[in-house]
Amino acid sequence: MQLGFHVDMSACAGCKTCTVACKDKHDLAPGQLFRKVIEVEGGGYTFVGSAVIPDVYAYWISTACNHCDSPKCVQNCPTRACHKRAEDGVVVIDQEVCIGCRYCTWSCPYGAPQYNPKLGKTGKCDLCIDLIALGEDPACVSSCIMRAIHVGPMDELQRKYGGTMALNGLPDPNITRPNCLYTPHRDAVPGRR
Amino acid sequence: MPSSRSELALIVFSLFAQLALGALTVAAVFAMRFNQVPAEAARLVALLLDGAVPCLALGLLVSLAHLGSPAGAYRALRNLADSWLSREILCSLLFGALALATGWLHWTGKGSPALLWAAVVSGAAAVWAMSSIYTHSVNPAWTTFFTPISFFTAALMLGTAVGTVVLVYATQRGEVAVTTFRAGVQDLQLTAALALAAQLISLPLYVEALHEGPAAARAALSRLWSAYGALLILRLIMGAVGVAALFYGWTLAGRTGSRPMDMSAFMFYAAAVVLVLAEVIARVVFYAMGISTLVGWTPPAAERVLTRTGLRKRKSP
Repeated sequence: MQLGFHVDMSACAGCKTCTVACKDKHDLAPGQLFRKVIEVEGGGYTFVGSAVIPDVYAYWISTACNHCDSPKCVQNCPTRACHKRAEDGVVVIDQEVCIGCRYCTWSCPYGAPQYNPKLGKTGKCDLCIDLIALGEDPACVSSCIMRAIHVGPMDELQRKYGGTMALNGLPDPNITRPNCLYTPHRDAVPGRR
Repeated sequence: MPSSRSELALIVFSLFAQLALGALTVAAVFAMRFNQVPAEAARLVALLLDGAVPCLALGLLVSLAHLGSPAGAYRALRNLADSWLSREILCSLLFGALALATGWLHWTGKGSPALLWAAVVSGAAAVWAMSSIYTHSVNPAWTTFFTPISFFTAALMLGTAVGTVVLVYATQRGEVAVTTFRAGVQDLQLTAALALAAQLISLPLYVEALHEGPAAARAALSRLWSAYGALLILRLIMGAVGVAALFYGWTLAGRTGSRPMDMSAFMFYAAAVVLVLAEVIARVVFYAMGISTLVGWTPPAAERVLTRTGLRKRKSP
């Protein structure tokens, strides 16, 4: 089984409640965000005669560790502190083993691992496996006021929501084969903008 | 995201390790080249080892400062199968051990050319592993051919600088004959000129590779020009000036006829300092160029690029 996320971008309002809930749950230091919301904006304008017709867009991508099938953080970690669990495919960093070399932060295309200088360790989203073990949802999922984030086995999420990882604003999913599906905002579909 | 300030320990470690590789390579070449005059060769090798071994030891020690939890540094050898960082640490430790053993034998008068070459090979392996750490990251500014070229040409330039200082110093003190000095300087001039040529040729290819890359690579290129363009140009000018000073010092030494004295010695020492400073600047820019592939998140430069490319202005038909 492989656990992962689904995010409905068409519902996301960019309120960042997921970011705050995650930060609170993991008691993160200033500057550390295991889940973040990226704002992508762009567009332009067209002259029609003397009129200026705006054609702008903005959307939000809520992203965290994608617990990838080919995680470069796991491959590059010199201590094996960063590893992928066999039972549910969740990528975790063993805080007892991590030496804070930060190579994982250079290896993740999504900027998921975050270094904490006070602890001298790197941490990241662990899919709230402690809450999942209690039958609860991860903090980001349960806090989302738009119910835009879902968690579960990837095949189940795929059946229920569909979605893609290929978005304008995110790296090529072929690099690490992430386990997160997005129902894309219309302007996030590659090739549209 | 890495920056040159937060990676000071890595700047020091990488430069010192590459300096040690360059100096040991020069020592191995001098030992072979001047085997007809073993006393002079041994003196040059000993002086080069005097400089290289402490630098390497200091670099290895400083590298621990990069770790958040240095006490667990030994655990970094646990993923030799997959991680280039594990391999780099193993190769660097081997390089350090072989360099120290070579130095010890030389200092006790039992120099071993085979061990010296073994140290050079292990040093080259360490620098290759070091560059592979960056080429196997996801930062587009680091994942190109430019990284190994930068690291190995840095080793050659730094080796040339140390070799020049040692050669001039030994010749001034009368420990090395003028003929040896002249032959040695010519070798160093050629090495520095080739390294400079490799740097000059690879830079436009690197810029082209970033320009043709994904958005994050173009953002890195934008940052290169907007924030570090002046430093990069200064570094190339300094490299060229350093190499030119090596040749000019040669001309001055030729005019005075014998040992490098006064102006010619000053020119050689100045060339060495300028070559070292050029590599320090290059390394600072290298670390400052680390940029996330997650365009739109941390790097403001990346956001600006996205916005610029996103802006479309069309005229009405």
